[in-house]
Amino acid sequence: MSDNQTVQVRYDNKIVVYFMMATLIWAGAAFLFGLLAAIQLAWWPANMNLEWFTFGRLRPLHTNAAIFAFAGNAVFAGVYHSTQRLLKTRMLSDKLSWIHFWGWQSIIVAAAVTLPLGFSQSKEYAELEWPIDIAIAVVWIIFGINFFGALYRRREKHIYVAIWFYIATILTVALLHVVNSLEVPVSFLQSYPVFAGVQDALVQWWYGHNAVAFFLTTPFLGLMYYYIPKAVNKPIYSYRLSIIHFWSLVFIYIWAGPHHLLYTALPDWAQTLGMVFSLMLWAPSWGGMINGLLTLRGSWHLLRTDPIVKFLVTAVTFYGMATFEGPLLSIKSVSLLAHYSDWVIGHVHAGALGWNGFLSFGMMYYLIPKMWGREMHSKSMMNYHFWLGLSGILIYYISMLASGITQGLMWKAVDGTGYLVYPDFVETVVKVVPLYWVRAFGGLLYIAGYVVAVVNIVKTICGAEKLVNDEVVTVAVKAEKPAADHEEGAHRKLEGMVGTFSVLTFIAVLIGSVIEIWPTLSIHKYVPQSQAIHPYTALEQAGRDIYVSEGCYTCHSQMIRKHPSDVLRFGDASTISESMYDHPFQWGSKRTGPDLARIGKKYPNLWHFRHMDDPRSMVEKSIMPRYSWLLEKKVDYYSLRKKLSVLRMLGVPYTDNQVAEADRWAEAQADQIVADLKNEGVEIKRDRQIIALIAYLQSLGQKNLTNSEALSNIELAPGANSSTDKEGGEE
Amino acid sequence: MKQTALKYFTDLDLSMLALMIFFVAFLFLIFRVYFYEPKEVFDRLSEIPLKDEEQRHDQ
Repeated sequence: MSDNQTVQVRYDNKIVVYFMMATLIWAGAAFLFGLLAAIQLAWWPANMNLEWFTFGRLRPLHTNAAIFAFAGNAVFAGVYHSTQRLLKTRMLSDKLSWIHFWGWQSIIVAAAVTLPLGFSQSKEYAELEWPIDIAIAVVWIIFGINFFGALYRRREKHIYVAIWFYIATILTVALLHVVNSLEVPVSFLQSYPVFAGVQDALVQWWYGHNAVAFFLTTPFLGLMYYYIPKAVNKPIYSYRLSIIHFWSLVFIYIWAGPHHLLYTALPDWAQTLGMVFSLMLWAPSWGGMINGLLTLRGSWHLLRTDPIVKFLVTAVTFYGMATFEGPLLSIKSVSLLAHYSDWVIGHVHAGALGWNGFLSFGMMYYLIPKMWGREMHSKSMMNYHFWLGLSGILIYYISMLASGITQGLMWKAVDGTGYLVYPDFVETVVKVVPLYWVRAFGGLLYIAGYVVAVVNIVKTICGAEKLVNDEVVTVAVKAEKPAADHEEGAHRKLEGMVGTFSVLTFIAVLIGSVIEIWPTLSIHKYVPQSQAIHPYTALEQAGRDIYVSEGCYTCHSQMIRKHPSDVLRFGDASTISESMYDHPFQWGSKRTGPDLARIGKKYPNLWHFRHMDDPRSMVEKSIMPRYSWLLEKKVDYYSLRKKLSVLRMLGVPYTDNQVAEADRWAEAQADQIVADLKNEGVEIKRDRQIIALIAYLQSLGQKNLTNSEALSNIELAPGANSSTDKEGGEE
Repeated sequence: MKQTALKYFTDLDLSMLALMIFFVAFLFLIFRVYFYEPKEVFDRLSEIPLKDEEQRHDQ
C-alpha cells in the first residue's frame, strides 16, 4: 500500500531570483524615501519647496514602497521558492508567474509616479487611485490562480503549515483590498470612496490593520515556518502549536482594526471589541514566536557562527517584541498617551525593519548561495550588515519611543488650575526635533547595512559561474492510501483538502469582518436630526480635494478625542455626524501638527493665506513645509459639477441646482474670500488653489445646521437653501 | 463591572454569538490537536521542509 515512486521535478528558480532582485532594488528606494522624510521632519528646508517632494507626498511613497515593493517582493520570492518545494511541483504556469512579476513591478512604478504628483486617496497604505487599485486586484488574482493551481497539482498530499499562512494571505488580502477600494471614479486619476466618515474610518482601519496582519505578518510567518527549519536543519519545535497558532491568529487578527480608533467618534462597542481582540492576540503571536525560537533547541551556538540564523532569530525576536507592544498600545489608557504620537511610528518600524526586514535579508542570504551555486562572498560583511542594521533599528525605536512619550505627556499636561501646561502645540513639536535627528541617524545606519549587503550580494553573483535557472530534483511520491481517522487525525485530513481548508480560513476572517463592519454601515440612520450637518460647498469640496491630494493627513488629524486634554486643546470632541459626508474620512493617525477638526473660523483668511505660503511667518518655530505653489496653481471649477454629482450619488444631499451650477457656486464663494484678502492688502485671483483650501479649512467644525455662517455659504447656490435643509434633515 | 462592560455593546446577542463561536471553536481545536491526533503523524509532517531537496541535479 505504501509504494513509493520517484519523479523528477523542475523548479523555477528564475522567478525567485527576479523577485529577490526586485526586493533589493525597491528596498533601497523605500529606505531612501524614509530617510529623506525623516530629515524633512528634523529640518523643514529639506522639503525643498518642491510640491512633489514635500513630506505629505513623500511619506505615502515611503510606506507603499516599504510594504508593497520591498516586503511584497520578498514575500513573493519566498512563496515561489518554498511553495514549489513543499508541494513538489512547479508553479501552475510560468506565464502567470511572469505576468505576476512584471504586473507587480508596473504597479510599483505607477505608484512611484502618481503619489509624488498628488494623485492620492489619502487612506493609509491604500493611497493609490482607482486604475492602480484595479491593476492590484488583477495581478493578485493571477498570483492566486498560479498558487492554487500549484496546490491542485501538487505531489505532496499534505500541505505544510507555511502553505496555510500563504493561503490565508492570498484570500484575506484580496478581501481587504476589494472592500476598502470600493470607490467611484471622478476622473482618470481621482475617485471618491463609497464609504464616508465613521464607516470609511472603520473599513479603512479594518484594512490598514490587517494589511499589517495579512501582508506583513502571515506570509512572513509562513516564511519563518519554512526557512528557520531549513537554516538550522531541524523541524519546527511543535507542529501542534503551529496549528493552534494559525487558526487563532487568522481568526483573532481580523477583529483588531478598531484599536486604531480608540476614543474617537466610532461607537464604543466597536472600540472595546477591537481592544479586547487585540489583547487576545498576545497568545497566538507569542505562541508563534516561541515556536520559531525553540526550533533552535540544541543549536543555539549557530547564533554565534551563522549570520543567516542571526538574521532569522532576531527577526522572530522583533516579531515577539512588536506583537507584545501592539496589544499594549491598544489598551485604551495606553492609547490615550501613545496615539497620534511618534511611539506608534517607532512601533511599526520595529516590526517593519526588524521583523520583515531582517527575515527578508536572512531568507535572501539563505537563497542566494543556492541560486548561484556558491557561498556568499563574505561572511564578515553579512555580520557587518547585521550589526549595522540592528543598531539602526534600536536607535530608531528608542528615539521614537522617547519622542512619543514626550509628546503624549506634553499634550496631556494640565496645571493645578485646569489649564494646559503647553497650550501652544508648536512647543511640543520643537521639543522632539532633536530626537528626529537621532531617528534619521538610526535610519542611516540601517541603510549603511543595506549597502554592505548589496555589495556582498553583487560580489557573490559576479563570482558565480552561472545562475541556476531551473533546478531538477528527484522526489519520492507516495501512492495514495486511505487513512483511518484514528491513524491520521482530522486536522491531518483537513490539511490534505485544499478547498475545504481555504473555505474554512476564509470563513474565519469573514466572521470578525462582518460582525464589526455590518452594524456600522447603518450607523448614520441613528444620527439625530439636530446633529445633522450641511455638506461642503462646491469651493470647500475643491479645497478638500487639495487637502487630500497634498497628504495633509500625514501630519494633521481631524478627530478630537473624547478626553479632557484633547477638548481643552482643540475644542468639543468630534461627533459622528461631523464627518458623515467626508469621502474619504480624514481623521488621520498622527499629530506632527495640531488637530484641524475645529480650525474653521479660528483664524482669519489672511492668516491661512500667509501660513500656507510660509508657515514660519505665522508660527515662528513651525516645521511645516511651504505650500507656495498653491498661490500659483489653478482650480478646475468646471470639474466640480462632476465631483458633486458623484458625491450626490454616494448620498451627499446636494440639490440639482448645486450640482448643475457647482462652478458658479464655487466662484461666488471664492469672490468673497478674494475680496476679504484684498481688504487685507493681498491681491490674488479667485481660481487659485489657495482660495479653495482656505474655504475648506474655514469650514472645518462649522458645518452644523445651526451655524449661520455655514448657512450663508449655502445660500450662495441658486435654489439651494430650502432643498438642502430638507435633504440634510432627511439624511 | 460586567454590566458596565456590556452596556457598550448595542447588540448583545451578536456579541455573545461571536464570543461563543470563537470560544467553542478554540476549545475544540485544542482538544483535537493535543488530545486526539497522534503525535507521530505531526512529527513526520514537521519534517517536510527538510526533505524537499533530497536529490538535486542542477542544470
